[in-house]
Amino acid sequence: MAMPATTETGGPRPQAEVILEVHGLTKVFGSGRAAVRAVDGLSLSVRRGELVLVMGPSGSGKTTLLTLIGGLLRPTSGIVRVNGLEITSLKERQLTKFRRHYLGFIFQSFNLLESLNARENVEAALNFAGVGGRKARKRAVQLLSDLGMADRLRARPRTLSGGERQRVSIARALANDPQLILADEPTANLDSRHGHEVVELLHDITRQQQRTIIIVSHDHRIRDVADRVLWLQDGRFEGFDEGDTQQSALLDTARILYGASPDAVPPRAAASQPIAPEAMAPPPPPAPAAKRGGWLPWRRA
Amino acid sequence: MVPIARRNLLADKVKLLVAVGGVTLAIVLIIVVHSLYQGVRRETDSFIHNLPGDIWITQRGTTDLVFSNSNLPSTAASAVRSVEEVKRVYTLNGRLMAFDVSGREVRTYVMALEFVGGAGSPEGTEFVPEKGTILLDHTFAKQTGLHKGDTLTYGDKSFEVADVRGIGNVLVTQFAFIRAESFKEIFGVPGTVNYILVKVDDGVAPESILQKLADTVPGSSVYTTQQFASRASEKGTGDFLPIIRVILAISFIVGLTVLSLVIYSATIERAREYAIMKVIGASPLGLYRIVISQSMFIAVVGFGLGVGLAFLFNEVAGNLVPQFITYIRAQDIALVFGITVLMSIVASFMPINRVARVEPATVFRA
Repeated sequence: MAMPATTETGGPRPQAEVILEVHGLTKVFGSGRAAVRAVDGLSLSVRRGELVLVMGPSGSGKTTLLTLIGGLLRPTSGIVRVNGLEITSLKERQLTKFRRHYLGFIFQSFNLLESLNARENVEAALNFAGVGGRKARKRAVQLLSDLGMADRLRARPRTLSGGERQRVSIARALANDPQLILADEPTANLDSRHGHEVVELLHDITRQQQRTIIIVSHDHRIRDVADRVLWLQDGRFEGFDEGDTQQSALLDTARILYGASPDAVPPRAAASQPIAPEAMAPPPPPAPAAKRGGWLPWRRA
Repeated sequence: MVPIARRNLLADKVKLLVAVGGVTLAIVLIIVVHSLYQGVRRETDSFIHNLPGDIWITQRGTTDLVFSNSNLPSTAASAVRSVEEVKRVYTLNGRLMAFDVSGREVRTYVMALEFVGGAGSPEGTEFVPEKGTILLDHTFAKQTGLHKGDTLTYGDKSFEVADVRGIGNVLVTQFAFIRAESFKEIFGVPGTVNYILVKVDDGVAPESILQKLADTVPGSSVYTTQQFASRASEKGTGDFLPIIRVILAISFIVGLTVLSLVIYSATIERAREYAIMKVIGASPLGLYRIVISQSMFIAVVGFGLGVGLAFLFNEVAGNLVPQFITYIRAQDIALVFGITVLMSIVASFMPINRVARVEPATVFRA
């Protein structure tokens, strides 16, 4: 982990700070014989500007992990620290404030407020954080415009395509300038083209805005842009093995579903052997892929 | 700020319409019933105040003009006149009478005012018609189709309508006036009068001589005009109060039920959205404010429409049913507004409880 970090331009840069630390995180649902350890003693460390992909079969604990990091569920044991703040010890009211200012959420089913238009959906998140009036409206318009939604500001979610809805969702996640973004299957409900756009967008956000993103997904294309891929099985991180039948089957399904090329580039940080706890520590921030031009590729086009 | 509450409501216009309609109906009922009650009170009160005199003397136990009798010895009027602070004295007689109008029976409460004596010109001459004529209340005239110049008969006596104007309408009957001589001829109860009205000297407070007058007329009750008006209007409407309270309670329950159901179902339908708002940083208080705002929005719109419709209803009903007298006071509107706000707050309890229990983690379910 002492490898020199690099800047966007490829030159050396100082070691990025750790944004997220998870130690011995456990979540048990139910009790006695019916008890299920959805997350079982996980430890993880993620640096600023990192894009971490968490993969695993259904029921492996991916979403539970995300909700624990997001302070939406209380762990049975263990610690989650975001930007140095131990959120597992926060009270409900403090957690609400924490989510408002430190976290952004992106969901599989977008989760926009149906009665509000695109601009208002973003503005509402700002309002909850105490930003109101023209300032909130201006920022909402700016964010949506940056995401290529300038002409869809007044559109209601039901009139937007899946890709547009996810862009509104991303704009909302960015509204309060969070350092950490948690994305749950952000491309699962999108077609190939829109899914690709969202992947590009998330990558650009980490690279250009130095935000940290943790993505839970089955979409193997995200492996192309992820700094690390973690494989979760039965609530524990395991080594990511391309030869593993179950993992390969999952990837094959994803390839079919998302129509991606079967010879996709393997993840930079994917391990082929079981992962030792120290391997959960973050790698140095990598340089951006040369093929990616940066923020808003479709606008430049 | 994004008006989430209003947007949520406007998203389902049918539900909004049902909710507003329910509240409007409740408000109309509350205002109409209450205005009817106030209308009767006001008419009774103003009728008594329009008659001359600062003091009313009645037989002990008399409550009002219509629902109880009062009989005093006619000599009492002369005794009252002799009291030092008394300026003028009148007698007032009255009873419910059935007249014949072209073979049809019509009933009205006929009164006769007579000036007994005293210094200066007597007041109330507008209630003393010429002999053989009668003054009718316009509600009664409208109800019976009588006009100025028409004739009413009572036995072998005929009365020509001398004038039709607003005299007094107390829902169950209206007042009419004939001359005292005619009244005596018809009923011929010598030596009695129903009421004695007293005008006191300038500078004398009516309250200051009540006891003196009571001592002068044994077996009597003596009231200032204000006291008697309040007593009479309370008696005139008091019997309606329990009915009115029941109707008001029913109206409140109807409005509250509709409002509660709509707000609750709107909250259940949007439970996921409340979870989303929790996830993206909405405080519990902020979410409760959304629920209460929705409830308040419906209630206030329903209130506005209800007040407008109540005025319209009273106007139309008053034209169709003349004795339907209503009076809407500013303070009553304020009271109904208070009831509306209470309705919206109570209606928010259950939905708020539901919102409080929404688990934010549920938003991760696809």
